[in-house]
Amino acid sequence: MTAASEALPPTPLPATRERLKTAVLVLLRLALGAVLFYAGFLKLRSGYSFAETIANFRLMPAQANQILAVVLPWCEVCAGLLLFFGVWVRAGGLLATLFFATFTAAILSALARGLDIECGCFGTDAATRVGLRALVVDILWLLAALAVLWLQPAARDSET
Amino acid sequence: MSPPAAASPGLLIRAQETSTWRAECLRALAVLAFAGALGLVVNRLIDKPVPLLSANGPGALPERATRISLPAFTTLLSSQKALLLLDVRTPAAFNREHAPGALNAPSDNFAAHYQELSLSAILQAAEEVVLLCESDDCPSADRVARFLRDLKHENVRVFEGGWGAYVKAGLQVERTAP
Repeated sequence: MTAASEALPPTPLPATRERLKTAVLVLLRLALGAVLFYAGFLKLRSGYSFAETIANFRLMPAQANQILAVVLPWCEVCAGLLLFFGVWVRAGGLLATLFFATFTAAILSALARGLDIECGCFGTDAATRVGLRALVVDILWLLAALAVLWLQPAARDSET
Repeated sequence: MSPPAAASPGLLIRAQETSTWRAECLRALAVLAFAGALGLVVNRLIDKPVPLLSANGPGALPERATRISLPAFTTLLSSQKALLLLDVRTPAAFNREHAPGALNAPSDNFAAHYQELSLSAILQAAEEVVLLCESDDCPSADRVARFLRDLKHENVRVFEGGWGAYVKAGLQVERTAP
């Protein structure tokens, strides 16, 4: 390698590849934002029965289930709005990763214990059961959240 | 005094990235705190707030109600007893398929359905009440059973195995035409 080539800045990504990366990022954060907002909004309307749904997982004491039922839907809505509107995208991505990792762990734990219960993933009216389908969907959303974290450049936060 | 050693560009970039991620984590925590506070305030303002610190609130798991086995249920069906089948599944599930003569009173907001359907009189007229739920491990039916027991309806049992077991047993099913 010559001294001249060492002085050159790193080769930029080809323009098309950069555009594709941006497009994938925008699509992912829009989809993730919309799904988090929708899931949170559905739960907002039925905090009482959402607390029952969380209790069915048999993971936490009653008080923790009740507090989570009140707080989680608003957290999902806020994270969804951040991602959808492209504000604090990495923070939104971190929250989405936290939520979907927790949901995946809860579903795995319910499946391991053979519980046949409602997932509560999209409120209590949807009546999705805990099962392989819910698990796969959650893992896919978790991967999408991780992809947003990976693709979102720090310097361009809130621009995409 | 010797001059401070110059940090390598790699170290500088890594330090910068660490500080960026720390800032992102703080932002995420701020969002959680804001959303959590919002949730708690809204919960205080709504008609039916979730009792956050109650040990017997909706977040408490109900005790398992008495089950009725398939053989006991088929015997009951063929008997002359006044039997009420109360289907506590969602209206969507009920509309897809249900047991003939069953009454749909979804476990979600059951107290309201109890009033709307005037279930008090219907339950008193029934000699036996069997709750049909989505599955055997259906705590929603246990909650309904507890609610009814608190109102002195003692003859309430939950069908063992839930709707899946009901269909598997080949019992009569009414399906809504698509």
